[in-house]
Amino acid sequence: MTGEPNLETPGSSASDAELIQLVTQRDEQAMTEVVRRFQARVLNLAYRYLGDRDEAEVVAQDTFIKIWNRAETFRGSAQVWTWIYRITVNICLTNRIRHRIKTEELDESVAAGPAQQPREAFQRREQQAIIQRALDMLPEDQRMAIVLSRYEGMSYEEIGTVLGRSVPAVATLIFRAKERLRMRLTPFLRRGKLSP
Amino acid sequence: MGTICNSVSLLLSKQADGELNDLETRRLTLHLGSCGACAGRQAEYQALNELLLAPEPILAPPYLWTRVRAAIIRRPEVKPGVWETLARRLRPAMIPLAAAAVVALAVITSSQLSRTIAVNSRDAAAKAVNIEPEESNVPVLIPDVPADTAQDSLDTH
Repeated sequence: MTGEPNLETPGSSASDAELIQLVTQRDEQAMTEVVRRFQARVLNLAYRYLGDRDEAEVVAQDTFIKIWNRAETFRGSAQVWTWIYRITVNICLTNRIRHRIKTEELDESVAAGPAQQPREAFQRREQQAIIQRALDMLPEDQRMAIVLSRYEGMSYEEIGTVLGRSVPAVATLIFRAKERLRMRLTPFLRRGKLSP
Repeated sequence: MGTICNSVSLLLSKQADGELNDLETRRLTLHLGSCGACAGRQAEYQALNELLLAPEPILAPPYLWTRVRAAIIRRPEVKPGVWETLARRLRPAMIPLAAAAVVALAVITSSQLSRTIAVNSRDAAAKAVNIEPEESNVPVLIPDVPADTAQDSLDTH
């Protein structure tokens, strides 16, 4: 591989599937293009699940390394991005990297008080922390289903493809997750601490 | 909430995600027309969905590809062999398997020991009442030691 690739400018016009096929032949330019096209989605999926940027970067790295090493396992019948998402999800779930709210950092920023931060930003951070704590308490599969549904905007069918579950199973996963979240967050809603 | 409401809750969850089919939509609409509790639950799911907004996206750092490339070059072809793959797959099950093996061994050993003691006790009892012990197929794990020799052994310890 020569020089630093410029990942900002559009690269190959090959389709995603064609790129993966080239990667199986150890085409480094194709791999560069794969990273360029998917790094944002992979990174943000990991970030939205883990809530930690550093951990998300590690997962993203591992995802692309796995793509390089396992490109031949891509079956052309699926879409490339669902296959890549599946790899990312499996790395997140397998490593059991749990998001932990950095409470020390959060407490410090909250303790700083609204006087030292714009009130709106403070309230938003506090609200996000409460929601994240509730998400953190979900079982891994329910949490991932919620992240894919609400944060990634995926349909139940797409989530089923990524998680290897049927659509009804995904619907049940999400329903159970929402029930737990509802039970946990409703008191905050009633106290006015959270507002949609 | 009744049984019907419990089943409708799943529909409410799907409705909030836009995943209802036509039949489910009709069924839900019919039920909500007469159930205030489910109407309230519908509002809660909608509010929950509005709360669950994705965090601001983060930008991929410029060094991400550099690190991936370095890792790829460092280990160009990492394809595990059959045994490594098998070992990797079995690894999560090793501890419970090992524990089960230890427990099984303990049970078997204990069982053998109990039988041996029972046989010896039966023999002793039989001798006490001058009854010939039955033939036993249980292997004797503890070798017969003449009583006086055994006692001497105990005395020296």
